[in-house]
Amino acid sequence: MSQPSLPFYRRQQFGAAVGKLAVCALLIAGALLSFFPFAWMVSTAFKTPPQVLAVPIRWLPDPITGENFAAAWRRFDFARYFLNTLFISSAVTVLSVTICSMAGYAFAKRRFWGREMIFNLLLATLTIPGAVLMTPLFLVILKLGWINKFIGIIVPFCVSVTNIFLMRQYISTLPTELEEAARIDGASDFTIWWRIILPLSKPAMATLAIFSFVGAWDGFLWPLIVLKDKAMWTLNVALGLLQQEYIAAEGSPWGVMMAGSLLVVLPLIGVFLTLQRYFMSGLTIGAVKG
Amino acid sequence: MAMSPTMKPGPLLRRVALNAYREARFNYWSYLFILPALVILGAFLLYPALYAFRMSFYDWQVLGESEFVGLENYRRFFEMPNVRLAVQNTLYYTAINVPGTLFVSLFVALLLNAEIRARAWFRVLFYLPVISSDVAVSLLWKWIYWAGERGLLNNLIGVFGFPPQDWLGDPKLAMPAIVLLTIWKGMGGNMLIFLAGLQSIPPELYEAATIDGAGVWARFRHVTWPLLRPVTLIVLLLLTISSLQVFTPVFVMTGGGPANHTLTIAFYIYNLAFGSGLYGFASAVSYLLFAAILGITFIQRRYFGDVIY
Repeated sequence: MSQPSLPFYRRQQFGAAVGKLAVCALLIAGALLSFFPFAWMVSTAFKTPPQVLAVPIRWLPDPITGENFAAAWRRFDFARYFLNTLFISSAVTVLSVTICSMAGYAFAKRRFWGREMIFNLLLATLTIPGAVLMTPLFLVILKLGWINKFIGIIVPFCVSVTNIFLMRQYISTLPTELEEAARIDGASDFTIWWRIILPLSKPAMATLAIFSFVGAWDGFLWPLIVLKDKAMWTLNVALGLLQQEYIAAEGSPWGVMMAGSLLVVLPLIGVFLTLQRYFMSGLTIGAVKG
Repeated sequence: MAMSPTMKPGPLLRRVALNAYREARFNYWSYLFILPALVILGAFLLYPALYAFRMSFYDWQVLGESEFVGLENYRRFFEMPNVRLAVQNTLYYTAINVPGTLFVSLFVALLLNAEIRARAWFRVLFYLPVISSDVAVSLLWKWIYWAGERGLLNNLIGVFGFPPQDWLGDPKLAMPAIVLLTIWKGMGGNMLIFLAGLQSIPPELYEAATIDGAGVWARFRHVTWPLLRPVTLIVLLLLTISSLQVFTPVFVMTGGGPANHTLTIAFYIYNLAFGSGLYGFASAVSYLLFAAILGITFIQRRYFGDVIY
């Protein structure tokens, strides 16, 4: 709409341009706020102890030191915790993708007695808060003899109703004709799942794999309860417990602590940045139909 | 049901039997497909949840004989000195964290919904705190909040002439400080849910509203906000449920201090069970939390309408 009689600042285009500029400025400010704590983490992780304590504070470490990482890796045994965490997260991911895609397929495509009832029961369990499970689940794990064992972390949390729901939503969008054709050709039920459903649901599986991996990597409360033995700790448990010990003992061990935090966060950010396509799509698969 | 097209017409009984057999075989595979999920969810979700209900009526002992005490654990809930504090603190945390995160993430989602070139980049930046581990970012913020002149936040407010604060050591500041961290961390995820909701609003509605002379605020008030209602409800529910169970930031940053001013219910339950060995009482407290969460979910649904998955 052109309004040549108006002065430039009252024209609609001008208003739109100012609005856009304001939006951009606010967004940049927000993005900086969201990012700058990480900058502080990185900056601290590369500082020598006197620099960490220096007043006034400095953002750029000079000289840059890798000692904190070496100390975290060796003296605080983060190498072991890293491997523990990697093992647990990978196992959870493999189990989760397998089990949830099987269940998701059954709930999406197959007809069997009790399907709706079972599925609704599963959805109802979503209301059970994790805090309720903390005590009794510990006792279950204790009875099974899984305290201090990785299996006590992996098995109880490798299936989530949300993930089954996600797979079901995705698989129900796949055409049924392929499945029927295969069945007429004499394919077994397992073959249909393995050869037809799984290859077609790769995007959803990727999303699920990432969410499971990140979820397991981020876990804290449960590993804290189950893994009492120092050698079995995950990165998060080590960070959460060591920080108390070392802040009490040394006052400001922040260089090493931030280096340790970076070791926890970096793999996650790496996974996220390389696979963000799947992250974003995962949030919209059946998530919200507004 | 897939039937082979070459099937011969046989005696009725045989056909029915064959069909039943095929159906059963088909079903048997269906149950095999859901079996692993059901076993694990049953053993590690449903069973413990029910088990906790039973435990809440006992003076539960891990070793040795547990004693049935009836409603004693629930009665104690109203007498233990720290329970009241834990409930108050959790409600306080929820009361600022939920609206805070909700409005910040809605605001950012509205900004990002505009036609902007670098939208994908902003989305990624806002999402970074979400994927970072709770422990690592809590530790990072503990360092940012560090008391005295070495803390980053004290340095920043010092620029504007404010004296340094003991953020996590001051009873008045500790909880708001934790909330600030959780808003920062939780904003990105909720923003994406809002963004998905915003993008499902048909643009014609905005055009029509603009032609009718609606400004930015009127368009938000009469188009965006009402149409976003189901999404807002989901965000509200998820935020409330997670806020009522906040644990990790408290564990890492304050340990419930100063003087129990950040003691939350989840942290209290953890201490009861794994610090004091009061498993039965811990179960009673967690069941009351469960009831509270169900109640709040119910009220919010009633008030806002239904959740749409």
